[in-house]
Amino acid sequence: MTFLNGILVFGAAAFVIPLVIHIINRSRFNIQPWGAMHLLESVLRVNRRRVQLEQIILLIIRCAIPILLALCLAQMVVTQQSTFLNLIVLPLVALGFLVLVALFPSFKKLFWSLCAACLLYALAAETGVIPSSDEDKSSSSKDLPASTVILLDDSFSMRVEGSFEVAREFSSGFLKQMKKGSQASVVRMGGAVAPIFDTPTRETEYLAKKSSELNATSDSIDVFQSIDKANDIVMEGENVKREIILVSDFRKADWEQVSESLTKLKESLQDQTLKPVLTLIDVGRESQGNLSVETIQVEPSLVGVGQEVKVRANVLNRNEDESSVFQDYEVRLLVNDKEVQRKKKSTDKLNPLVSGKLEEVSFNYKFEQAGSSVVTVELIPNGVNLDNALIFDDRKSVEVSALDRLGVLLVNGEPSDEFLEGETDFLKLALTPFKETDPKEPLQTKDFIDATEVELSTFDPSLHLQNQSVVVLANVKSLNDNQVDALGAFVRNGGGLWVCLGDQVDADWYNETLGSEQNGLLPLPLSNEIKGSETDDTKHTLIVASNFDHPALAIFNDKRNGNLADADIMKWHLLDETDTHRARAATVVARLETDAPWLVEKKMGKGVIIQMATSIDEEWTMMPTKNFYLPLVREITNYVIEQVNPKRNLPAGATLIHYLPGTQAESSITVTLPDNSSYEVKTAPFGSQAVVEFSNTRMPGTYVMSGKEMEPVKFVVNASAEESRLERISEEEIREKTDAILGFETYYVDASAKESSSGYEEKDSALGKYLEMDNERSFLGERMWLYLLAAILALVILELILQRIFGRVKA
Amino acid sequence: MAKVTDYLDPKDLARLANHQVLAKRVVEGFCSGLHRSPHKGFSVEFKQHRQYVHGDEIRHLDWKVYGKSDRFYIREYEEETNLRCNILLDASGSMAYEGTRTEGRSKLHYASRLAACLSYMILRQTDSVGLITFDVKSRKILPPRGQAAHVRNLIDVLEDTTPGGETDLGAVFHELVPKLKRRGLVIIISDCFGDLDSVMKGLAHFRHAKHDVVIFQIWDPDELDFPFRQWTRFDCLEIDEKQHTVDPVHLREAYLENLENYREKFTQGCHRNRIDLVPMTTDQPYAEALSYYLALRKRGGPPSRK
Repeated sequence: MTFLNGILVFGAAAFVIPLVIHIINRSRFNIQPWGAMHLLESVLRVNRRRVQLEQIILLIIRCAIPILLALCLAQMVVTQQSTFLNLIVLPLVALGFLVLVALFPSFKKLFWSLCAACLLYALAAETGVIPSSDEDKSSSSKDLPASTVILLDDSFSMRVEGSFEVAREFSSGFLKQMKKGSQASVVRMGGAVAPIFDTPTRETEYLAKKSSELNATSDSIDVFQSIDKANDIVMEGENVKREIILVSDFRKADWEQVSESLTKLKESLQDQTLKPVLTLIDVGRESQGNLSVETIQVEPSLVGVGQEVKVRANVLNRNEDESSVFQDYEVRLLVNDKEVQRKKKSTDKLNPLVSGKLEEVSFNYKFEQAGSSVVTVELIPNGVNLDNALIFDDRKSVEVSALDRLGVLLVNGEPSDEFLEGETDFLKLALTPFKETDPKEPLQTKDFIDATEVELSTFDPSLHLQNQSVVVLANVKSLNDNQVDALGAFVRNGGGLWVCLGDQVDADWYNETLGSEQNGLLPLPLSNEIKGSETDDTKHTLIVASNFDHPALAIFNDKRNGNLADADIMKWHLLDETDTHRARAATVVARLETDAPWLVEKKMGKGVIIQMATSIDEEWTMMPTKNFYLPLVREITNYVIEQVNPKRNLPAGATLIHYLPGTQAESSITVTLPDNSSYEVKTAPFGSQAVVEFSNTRMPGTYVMSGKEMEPVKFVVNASAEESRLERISEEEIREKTDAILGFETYYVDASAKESSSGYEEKDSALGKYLEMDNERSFLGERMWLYLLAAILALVILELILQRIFGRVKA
Repeated sequence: MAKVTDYLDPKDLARLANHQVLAKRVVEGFCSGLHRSPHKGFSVEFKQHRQYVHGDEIRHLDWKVYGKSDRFYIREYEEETNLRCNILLDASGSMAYEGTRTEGRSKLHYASRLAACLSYMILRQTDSVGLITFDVKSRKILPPRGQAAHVRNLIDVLEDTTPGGETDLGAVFHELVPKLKRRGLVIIISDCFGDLDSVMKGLAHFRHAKHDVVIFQIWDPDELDFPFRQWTRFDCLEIDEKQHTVDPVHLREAYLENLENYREKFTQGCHRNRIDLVPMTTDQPYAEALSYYLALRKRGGPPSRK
């Protein structure tokens, strides 16, 4: 016995209402001194027991009505006949005999016995003393209205050989033939799980029409998350027949992911008695092979106008046959959908594509204009396309924001008139190498980092923080409150702060003001100890240059870019990690050999703070003299800038975020989707800025945000490379996964065979096969609301009649 | 000390002024009077003139007085027997019942006034009246006297009577019969609750002693229509421990049926013993019921039952 609307079962507690009324009535009696007691007593002598019995009967009926009503509203579903018999029918029959005892006292012994027999039997059967029949209450599937969720795989892989057309046809055909009273929901699985309507609908015809308009334009599916969602929806259904129909091409890649949703699904299924059945409709088509552009990468990650960038793409032949080699193909580079370069086998010596082996193709390109561009690499196979089942994955894009200027403010805490003696001299040189080396020469590669140096004494936040992305505090003793407040706001609004220490630093001020709980601009506090010695070599240390996990230093995993352990660190501030609360908020990026933190990162608001335990000049370290200095400072700067800019290359389903000046809050922004449909989105205020967010990114491709006072911003939503894997999972493997993991009753309909043009009959279609299977199965459980309603009505009428009859007591 | 007017309302007395309490059977008295005596007296000593009232025998008219004054007067002689009337007033617990519609007047309150009124009427017609209050046995016995001032004694006794104790009418009647040595009128004012057989036997005992018995059965309207609706605990007025908590709605019909049976049987019993049974309800002015009954009695009609 279970309930489709379980929460309403608690309504049965309403049975206490008549009970309480009865008890209150009994406890709030009037006291009447009475003389004619001999008249009353003789009546009582004859009727006391009888009146008590009648009152008990009326009380039982009054209590039973709310209980049955609650069971009826909670939509009780009976899975075993014996349970319904023992818990509902027999007690009601016993009540009937009790009424007969009251009505026909001359046969009271007989009726009492029958009443007791009913109750005893029910009790014994329910406790298992008497074996009761375990006959399941089931109904033939085809006669039942159903609550169905169709999980429709609309990922790109469904484009193979028209799989999606078959799925769509099945889905709309199925919805049209649903029984009256059925509810259905169609959930698109690709990218992010998205139902067409938020709640299941009875308008199945309309839903059929809607589902026939769908296309396979989404990213890969998360099977278990989809089943979990479908399970949530189907459990709200009002019918006993609850079914999740998964229409997919059953690619191996989709079933291999074990996501968190599987754990959640298992948990939610644990307590579920009336599990839905899972019907798998396999509409997949076998394919020979597939060519795909697997990855695309632009180096460096920060691109300046006029700077030559390298676009690397990996292409792959995904033919299951390992000996397959694809010879003839071309690769072209497109920027904003315009071809700019093309590589051919004949001229550019492209390697043949051996099955399963990644081939790298690279292009060099310079962006002439600042702004957001989409760089696409496309693979064009020549000749027969049998080996390329999917066309969508033959191209891959990446968004590149070319910058013409990137403001970095260097606050110099120890200026000097002599060349390279100032605290920020080396840093400025490293950030703007071309400008510094020969400022008169016309630039071939534009130095897009615009580093401005300012002495601490002249640092005016209102003036100098304009148009800056990163601020470097180099050996700054202390700042005034106004400067600290301005820096705090700068970081929270998406600025980067790089704090380099040194001999000028006032450790107490740093800890108490800069790193105070209110400002929070210091990742780790300084212990008042400066370690090491400038003169004593034995006290020098080195940076631990093992494998760097952090992206800011990942470049140094390749030793060709320099070895951080080459430079002596003479002196350093010991950063205090003992405050666990603060240490948790900060990430140590790199350490010294003494195990002291060297480079620490902390995120705050939309910005990021980097703290370096040493100075940035050569006073405390030998870093500026080493070849890794330039890449180091640039990588840290780039990292900081990347962190503070919202990402524009995202996986499907992620949210597109773009910040705008605060003046544009509440303005309207147009988001154009890859299929050229567009949405209007309102910007929302965010601190001193405005933010645009857009979440409907199920469809891979290029999204463009444009508005009145803004340059168009492009976002690229990438389909998972897994979508290009077209290997199919077998029925046995699916069954193994669904049965073992989920415990669902699973049905499998194989509609993967291609329909032959001749002799095609309706019964051979996916829907035909499904209906044939459906005819043969039955569903456990029967809804009992009609019987319960009848019982309630009967009890109400009985109560009214008995109340009248019981008024007439025998003298 | 109670005022006489507390018990004897002039309005009620005025209403009853033209009525006499007459014995229907032959009763024994010391004097010859209104009532037929089994003793034949020779003494014809004149005692007094009395105004003629309707029903007096014409042969007793004093025609001389009529000749002188043109008014009808009856000559009364000493040897004409007078009525000895005993009023038996039930003062048991059940008589303490105060109904919901009688403004706090108990059945005993009603019965006392009825007793006082009857006594006054009897004394007014120069008969003698006595009062016996009882519950399980007789409590106070005031022997019959014929003086007008006797009414004061009666009212004092009535004033001192408080309801309480159980009822056993049969036993009380058996106890009293030997005490009432001369035949006379016995007026029982009671609710007559108790074992019906025992009561009937007691009454038969009175009849056997040749008393003329009249029962004024006092009912409270609540006892007749059982108007209770809510859960009620009925506390017995006679025995403290006796309580019953019931839903009166369920019992009403049975109670009324039971009451009907009881009254039927009691009426039949009284009829069999040729006892006048006069049921009275406490919401009904007693003078009205009494005058109706007395008028009927004079005509020799059957006792009414309202």
